[in-house]
Amino acid sequence: MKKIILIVSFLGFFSAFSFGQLIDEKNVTVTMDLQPVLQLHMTTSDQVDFVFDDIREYYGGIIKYAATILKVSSSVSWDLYAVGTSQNGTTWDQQMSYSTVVNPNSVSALPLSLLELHQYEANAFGLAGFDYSELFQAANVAIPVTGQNSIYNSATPYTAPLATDKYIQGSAGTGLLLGAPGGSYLTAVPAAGAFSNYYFTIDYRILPGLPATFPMAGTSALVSEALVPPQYAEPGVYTMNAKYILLEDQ
Amino acid sequence: MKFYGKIILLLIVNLLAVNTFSQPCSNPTTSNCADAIAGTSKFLMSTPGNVNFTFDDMQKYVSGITNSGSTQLRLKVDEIIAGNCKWKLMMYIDNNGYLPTNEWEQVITPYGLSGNNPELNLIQVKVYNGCGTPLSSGIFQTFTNNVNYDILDIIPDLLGVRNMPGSCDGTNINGPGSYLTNYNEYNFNIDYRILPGYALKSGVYQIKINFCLVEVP
Repeated sequence: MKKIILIVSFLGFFSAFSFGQLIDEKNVTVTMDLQPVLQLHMTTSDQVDFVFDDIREYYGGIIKYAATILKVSSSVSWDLYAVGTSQNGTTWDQQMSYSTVVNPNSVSALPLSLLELHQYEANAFGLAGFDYSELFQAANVAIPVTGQNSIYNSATPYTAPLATDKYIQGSAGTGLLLGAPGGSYLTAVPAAGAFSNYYFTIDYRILPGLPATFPMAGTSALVSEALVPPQYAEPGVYTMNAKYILLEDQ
Repeated sequence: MKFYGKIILLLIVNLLAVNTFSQPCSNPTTSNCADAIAGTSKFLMSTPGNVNFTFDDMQKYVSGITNSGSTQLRLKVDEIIAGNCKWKLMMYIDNNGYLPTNEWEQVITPYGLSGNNPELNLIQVKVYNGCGTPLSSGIFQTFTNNVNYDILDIIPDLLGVRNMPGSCDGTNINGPGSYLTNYNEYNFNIDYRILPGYALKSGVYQIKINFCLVEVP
């Protein structure tokens, strides 16, 4: 009897390894390569010219409305910032001087921060107040908030600004609401009467004032960089480079 | 007493042996159909065993990527005991033991910092053939339970019901037959689609999709 039970148990054991049955399996390996894609489309001209040849343009300034339109598509969370730069990263490059006299008050080192920006829409994923969403201040304002709309400038434009500098979208750091989520201007649905968080228009202004001291120029910390009378801007041709940098939130 | 100890030991080993196949594709309890490995039945995959999705352009992120007909399965099932051979066909997802169990296996260190790891319910699969025999034929489905070894039935266990080929009316055919004679009922095409969206962490990820043909009582 014991032998029978033992044999039955052995048979049960081997039945688990039986291959005389219909069972088979095929496998497919699925590999997904998600490469980071960040695309910044600028559909407008890459040249913005300001020609001050009328006294009204000195005291009223020149505004270029929506001279730059930026469209963002990104597969990852992102930040967008504007940075003004030049040969030395702090002042405009003088290409030509119209001045023939040597006057110590005629200054050719004009601060990059004299260029003002105004963005639509406001930075929705950054620290309040550190963007370009404030309206341009009136030219005749008694006490201007210097640097309020001045472009962030740096000699190392590809180094991301600090959290206390201006961003168009996002900010330094990866915390909550310090970077915009991935998405595209192609698919984002804006609120009624607004642009989406992936579409920006940028206005530019230069306000020389009289004398031409650029009273609005200032740093992110709102420290004035305006020329101090009797200094004035030396007539001439100046250039600077405004870069728009789209990068993964970091 | 010593004898019964041996019996208990054998039963435990037996139990462990059975549980070794505790993944979804487990041994059948009957032998009414011919074996597909050494016997006359056939379970063929005529397509490559790798399906690749490379998202390197924004348009691909926007519209997703579909790999159509990337897998083609062909069946030939012969019966041994007349009138009793029935089978089921299913697929299940496997993340190669990666933890957590609801995420794709991370093959390399991610390219970026932001975003979430992709989960198993990201992949969409569509199974179809000429006669519409699969369950949810022609419809993209996901592994909605979002866990390792989650199953999607292609031809389910019909619990004793046996459907023979030839009708081509969308019935789940589960009897003996062959892709050679009834191609549209014993051939299965599988499409894969991924719509990643914009919230996933950049990197290279992998999963395995297993197709299991097994006899049912």
